[in-house]
Amino acid sequence: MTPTRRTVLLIGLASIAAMGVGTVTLGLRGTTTVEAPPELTLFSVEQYSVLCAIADTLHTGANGLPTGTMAGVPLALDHVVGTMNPADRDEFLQALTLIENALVGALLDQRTTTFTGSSPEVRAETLRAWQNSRVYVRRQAFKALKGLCAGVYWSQPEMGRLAGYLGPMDYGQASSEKPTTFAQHAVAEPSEPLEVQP
Amino acid sequence: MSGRIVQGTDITSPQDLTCDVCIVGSGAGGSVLAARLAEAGLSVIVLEEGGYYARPDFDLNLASAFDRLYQDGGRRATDDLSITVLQGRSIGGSTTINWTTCYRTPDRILDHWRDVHGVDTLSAEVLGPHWDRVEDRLNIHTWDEVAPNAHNSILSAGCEALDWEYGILRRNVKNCGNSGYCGHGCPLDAKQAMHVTFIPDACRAGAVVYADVRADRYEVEDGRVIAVHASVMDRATKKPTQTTVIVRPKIAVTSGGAINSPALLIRSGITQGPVGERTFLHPVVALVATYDRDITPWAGAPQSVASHQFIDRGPDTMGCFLEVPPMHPMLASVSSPLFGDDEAAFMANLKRTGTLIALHVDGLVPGDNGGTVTIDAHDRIRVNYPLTALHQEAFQFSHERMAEVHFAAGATEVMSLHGEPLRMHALADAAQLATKSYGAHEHPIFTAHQMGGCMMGPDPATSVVDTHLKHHHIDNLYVVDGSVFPTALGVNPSQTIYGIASWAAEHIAVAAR
Ligand SMILES: Cc1cc2nc3c(=O)[nH]c(=O)nc-3n(C[C@H](O)[C@H](O)[C@H](O)COP(=O)(O)OP(=O)(O)OC[C@H]3O[C@@H](n4cnc5c(N)ncnc54)[C@H](O)[C@@H]3O)c2cc1C
Ligand code: SF4
Repeated sequence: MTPTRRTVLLIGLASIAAMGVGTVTLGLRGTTTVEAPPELTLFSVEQYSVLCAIADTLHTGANGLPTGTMAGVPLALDHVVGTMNPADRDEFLQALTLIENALVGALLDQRTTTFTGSSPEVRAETLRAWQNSRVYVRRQAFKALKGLCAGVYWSQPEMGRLAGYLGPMDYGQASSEKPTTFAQHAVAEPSEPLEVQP
Repeated sequence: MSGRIVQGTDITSPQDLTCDVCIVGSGAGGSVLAARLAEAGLSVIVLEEGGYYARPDFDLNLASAFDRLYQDGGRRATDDLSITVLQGRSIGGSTTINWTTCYRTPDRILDHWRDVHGVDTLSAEVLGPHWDRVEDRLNIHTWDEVAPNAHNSILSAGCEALDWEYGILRRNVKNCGNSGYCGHGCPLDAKQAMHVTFIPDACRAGAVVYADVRADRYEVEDGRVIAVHASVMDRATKKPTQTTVIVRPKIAVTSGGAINSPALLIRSGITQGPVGERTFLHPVVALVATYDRDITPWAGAPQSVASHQFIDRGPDTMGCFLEVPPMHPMLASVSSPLFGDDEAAFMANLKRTGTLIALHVDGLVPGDNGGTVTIDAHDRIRVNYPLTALHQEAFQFSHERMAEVHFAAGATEVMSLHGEPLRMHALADAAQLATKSYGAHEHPIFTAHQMGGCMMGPDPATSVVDTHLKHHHIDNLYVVDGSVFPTALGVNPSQTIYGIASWAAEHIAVAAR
């Protein structure tokens, strides 16, 4: 879940120009890449690598939890972002570029390296700077990325269990019988099944 | 007509259909209306863009629930992403995933609609018999057979200690197993949502309900809808297939819910009047707290207590009411500003974390016109909802009140959800809430109650439908859902919509004959 729509979009190059960065061609040259899984359908290796760096900054592997990449967040987002409205999708990809780009980092956050080329501490500082930026569109972008990554990460049952959440019990919902497995209170009468016909 | 549900995969060739009434949307408004009209002997077709999911499909996994049952897979948001918009998209609409709280419309709201917006057709007397019938069918009752869960008990205990008003909620449930999964699709069919009540009623009376079929536009000729053009949707990609459905009804009804109903009118070029304007959201802010006891905020009926202590804060201020949300790990993490090691620590303590929410009543203060719905050049629905000084003041006020409740209920630490959270360890610390900023992108804001956008009223210049819900300019077009509200309600909206739909069925049936 989360607000990914129109992601950072508003934060496109026009916004960056408005922030005083001038007209520049921003790309993902210089990105420190990681090995990309063959299943990727949308992200380039560079985009996937940036997303891994973001996902691992949001979910560092603390408390015995897996990192964002280990939890498969970037790969899952390849699918999620791929199903978005094309305009939303483009805006999302633009956001990745802006976070990664060293020139933007230098102008906004005194960061001289690319995001993927930065240490974990600098990456965390960078995301915090986006989260609390006085530039509204950066806060927007952070919210979109954090929401998407956290949504994918914590929707996985294994992660929930690590938070003490055992996940749903078996309520017997696949059965047409009255459920009996959760009889703390009276069980429900199943509704009359509807006939589904062509 | 032999009533049934037809799913998208069953429609393999283009369809051209006729009927008395075609209803777009199978949620709170569309389902009640479909059942009443079919029972009155009319031929009814319902088009629903979402899939038909029922108990066997509810795997209770939040990711699949959002993907299948929510608009935009749960990623719907206002234009600037500052407000996350939770809204349903399946047979049953938002009732399939709502949290079961039911209220009759407060008198003060019906009075306000009459006095300020000229809606003189609706009153407690007019709606009373309809609510009685709906309450009977949906088993709406004060849910006092089971004690509130630990999470909701925070609100009752806090209000009790502060001597504030609170109450046990009425819910549309039968033999509720107190599982806590209302937002994922009820695993026991205990929630009397539309897909287990009025939709089966409608089908039994002959209505044909098409799942996975999205109404794209109305074709209008000489001031009448002559056809509803629709596409069969592919469930996996949520994109239209090549297969089309055309319905040629005597009467067309839009029940797509706030946001989608005005969007459908705009896409159809039916833009007379303030369509899309006055969209209200009951904007929600939250405050979390740590307790030295287990709260397990995901377990048990999600909402069973509410406080309306601050519903009316006097002129020129926005009132609010307090409730408790279900906090499954995914919702908790998405709502929290924390990340990295801080988030891991927060989530490790989720079991002892309680969350209160404040829902703000928009549209009542003069000049508070809510948001607007438009369609952009990429055919995206855009909801623009400005958060003004009125909201900011109200959000700060509600943060302060929620902090009071948390501490009165025994919280050991209360934390705001600002980008840089404020951590409070005693009530005196809550004074620092005044130093924080409130509004867009300062802290999370949600809505689960979308209202308005096709407002009812007597004047075509200031409303979209008349006070009997008929479009001011299109003779055979009605709107029957939460989009017709002139303001927000100050209570959870589903029962108001059920009641209005049941009432509207009476005159729509006459018009369709
Ligand atoms: C998580 C959550 C919790 C909630 N909890 C409560 C609660 O406890 N109590 C309460 O009173 N209210 C609650 N609500 C709100 C309540 O459920 C809604 O206000 C109510 O269902 C709205 O009714 P509606 O008829 O206006 O729209 P909906 O019930 O949303 O139905 C609209 C339907 O129309 C379909 N549709 C839209 N456009 C098209 C189209 N072009 N073609 C075909 N189909 C279309 C949609 O897919 C949807 O299924 C909750 C909502 C959510 C999301
Ligand atoms: S609490 Fe559980 S059993 Fe009760 S209505 Fe909600 S989902 Fe169904």
